[in-house]
Amino acid sequence: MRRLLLGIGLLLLCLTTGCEYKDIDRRIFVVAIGIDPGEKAGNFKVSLKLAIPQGDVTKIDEKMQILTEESSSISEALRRMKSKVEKELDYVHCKSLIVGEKLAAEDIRHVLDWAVRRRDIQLILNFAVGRPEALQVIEVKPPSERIPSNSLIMAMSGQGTESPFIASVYAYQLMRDIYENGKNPILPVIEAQGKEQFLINKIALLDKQKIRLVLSANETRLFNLLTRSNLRTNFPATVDDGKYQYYTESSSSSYRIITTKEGEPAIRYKIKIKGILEESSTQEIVTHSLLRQISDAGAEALNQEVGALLYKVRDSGLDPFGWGIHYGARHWNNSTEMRDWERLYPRLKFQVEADVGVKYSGMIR
Amino acid sequence: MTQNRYFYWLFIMNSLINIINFVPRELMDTRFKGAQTSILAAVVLGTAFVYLFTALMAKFPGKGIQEILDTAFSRVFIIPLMVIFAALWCAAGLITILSFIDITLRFISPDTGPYLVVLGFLVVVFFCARMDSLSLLYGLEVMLGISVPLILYTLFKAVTNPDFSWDAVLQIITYFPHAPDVKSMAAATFSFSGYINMAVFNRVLPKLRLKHRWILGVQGLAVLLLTFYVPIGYFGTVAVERHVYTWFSTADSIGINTFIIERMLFIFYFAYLNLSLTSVIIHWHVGKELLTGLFPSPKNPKSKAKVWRELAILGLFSAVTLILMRLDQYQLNALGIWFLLARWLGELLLIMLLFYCYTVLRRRNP
Repeated sequence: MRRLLLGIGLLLLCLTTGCEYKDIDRRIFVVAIGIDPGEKAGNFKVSLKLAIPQGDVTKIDEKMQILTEESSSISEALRRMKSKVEKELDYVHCKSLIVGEKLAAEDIRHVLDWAVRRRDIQLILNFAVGRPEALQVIEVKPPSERIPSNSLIMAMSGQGTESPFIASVYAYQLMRDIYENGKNPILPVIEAQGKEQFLINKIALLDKQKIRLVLSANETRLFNLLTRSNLRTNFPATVDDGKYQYYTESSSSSYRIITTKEGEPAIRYKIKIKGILEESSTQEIVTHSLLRQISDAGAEALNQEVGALLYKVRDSGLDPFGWGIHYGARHWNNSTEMRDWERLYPRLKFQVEADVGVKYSGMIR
Repeated sequence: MTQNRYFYWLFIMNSLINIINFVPRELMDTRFKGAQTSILAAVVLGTAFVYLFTALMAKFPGKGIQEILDTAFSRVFIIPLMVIFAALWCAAGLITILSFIDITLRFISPDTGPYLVVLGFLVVVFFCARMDSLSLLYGLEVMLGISVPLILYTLFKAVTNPDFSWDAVLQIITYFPHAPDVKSMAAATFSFSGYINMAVFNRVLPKLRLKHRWILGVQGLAVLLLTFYVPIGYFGTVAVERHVYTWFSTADSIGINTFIIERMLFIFYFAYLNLSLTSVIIHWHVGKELLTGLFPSPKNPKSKAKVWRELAILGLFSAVTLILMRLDQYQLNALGIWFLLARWLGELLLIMLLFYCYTVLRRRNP
C-alpha cells in the first residue's frame, strides 16, 4: 500500500513542471494593452506591448515589441495577433490598459466588461485614457526605463513617483463606480509627448459610460487632495508682495452633507494640512507671525480654488466624489433617498474650511 | 482544553469554508432584501443548534451517531437514515471540491485540463479520507495553523485598503430593516454547521467538556459579516452581484506592494486550497464512517473486507464528483444552493433524532 502511494506520489510530481506545460521561453508577456477605435466604425484597434523575457538580469537591454490589429471585437483582434508572434501571448502580467481618448469619448463599458470578464487579466489592472491615441502612449519608451512598460506601471500605481497629479484607477474601482448609484467614475489621462516622454497630470470625469469633462492639472491636484490623505505636494501663498510655497507634510480632508440655516443643502469640506515652508521670493527673515500669515493666506487661496473646483464639478452634473452614495449611506429611506438626492444636487452649496498650519520655516529662518 | 480544541477547529473550518460553498452568493442576492437580518437570525439559530447538539452529544460520551441511534431505533429505520446523512456529507465535500476545481481552473491554471485538476485533488482526498479520525483532527489543526494567519492577513489588507468604499458598506447597512429571507438564513447557518461532524468524531473525543460556547456565536457572526461586507466595499452595492466567485475576485483586487508576490490572490488561493481540501477530506471521512458502520464488523480481524468497503465508498464519492464535473456554472450554483437548504433540514432532523434517543435513554434509566 505504502509503495503504491509512493509510486503515485512520484508520478504526480512529474506533472508539476510549472508554467502550465509551456516554459517561460515559449511565452511572451503582454505588459500593456491599448485599445483605440478602428478605422471602420464599430471596430477596435487593439495594440499590445510585449516584453520579451531575457536571461541575464545584469545585462538587461530593454526589448519590446508592439503589435497592432484591427477587428470588430477585442477577442478577435487578440486571436489574430497570435499568428503574428511565434510564442504564446500571456496576459497574466499585464498591468495597464489604455483606452484611446476617442473611444473613451464614446463608451468604455465594452472594454471594461472584456477586461473584467477575462479570467487571466487581473482586477488590479490600471485603467487610463490615452491621448491622442492609446497606441502612441504605449509606444512611449523613456530612456530611464529598463523593463518594458515599467515606467507606466510605476507611475500609475504610485510605487515609483508620488506625483500629486496622478490618480490611479484599478479595474475593480472603475467597475464599482460605473454601476454604483450615486457615484461617477474617473480615469487618469496619459498624454504621449513624442517617443520618449509621457505626461500624466489630468483626470477625466466620466458619466456612466464616457468622458464628459477633463480637469486641468491644477484641478487634478486639488481633486487628489480631496480624495486621498497625505498628498505630497506644494501649494502657494501670497503675503503682501511675497510669494511663498509650502510643502504638505500631511493632509487630510473630510466632508459632511448639511442643511444650511436657509434650508439649502450644502457640503462642508474640511481640509487639514500641515506644511513646511519650501520657497520664499523675499529675503525677509521668516518670523512666527509671518508663518501664521502664510498659513492663513494659504488657507484662503485653497478655499477659493477648491470652492471653484467643487462648483465646476457640480455644474457638470457628475459626481466623481461619491456624494450621492455618501448621502444614501446616511439616510434610511432607501426607496426615495436617491430621488431626493437628485433634487438636491443642482442646488448644492459648498463651504470649504481649509486649515493650513505651516509649522516650520525650513532649514533657514 | 486538550480535546476541546478539536471541536473548535472543526467549527472554524466550516465557518471559513463558507465562501467556497456559495454562501456569499446567496447573501448577495438578497442584500437589499434582508440579508443582514438573515445573518442575525442565522447566528441565533446556529448558536442554538450548537448548544443543543453538543448538550445532547454530551449525554452519550464516546459514541458516534450510529451507536446512539441503535439505542432507540430498529435497523430498518437506521439504514435509510444513515444513507441520507452520508449523502449529505458526501454532497458537502462534493460542492466544496467542485467549486474549488472551478476556481482553480478560472484563476490559477486556465490552460490545464479540468480532469487533470480533478484527479489531482481526488487522489489526495481519496487517500487522506481513509486515515483514522484522530489523525485527521491532528492534520486539521496543522492545516488551520497554516491557513488562518494567511486568511487574517488577507482580511487585514482588504479592510485597510484606502480604496475600500466604506460608503457602499454603510449604504448596504441602511438596508438592514427587512424581514429575514429563509433561503439566505439557511445558507448563512452553514457557517455554524462545523459542529455536526461531531456525529462521528465524538467517538474519538470522549472527554469533551465544552466551555465558552458563546464564542462560537461571536466568531460565526464576525465571519458572516466580513463575508458579506468586504466584497461590497470592493465592488459597490450594485456591481457586486456580477462577480461569480465574489471572494476570489475580492482577493484579486488586493495588491501587496512590499512582498515577493504582488497579487493577494495567490496567497488567498493557497490558504483556501489547504482549507478546502482538508474540509473535503473531513466531510468525506464522516460520510465514509457513516456508511461503513452499516456493515457488520468482520469476524476475522485480518479480513480485508473493511479496506475494500472503504475504498468502494470513497470510489463512489469520487465517481459522483467526476460525473458532476459536467455541470456548468449555473447548474453547480443551483446544486450548491439546494445543498445549503437540504443540509439545514438534515441538521434539524439529526438534532430531533438525538433528542428522541435522549428521552428514550432517560426513560430506561431514570
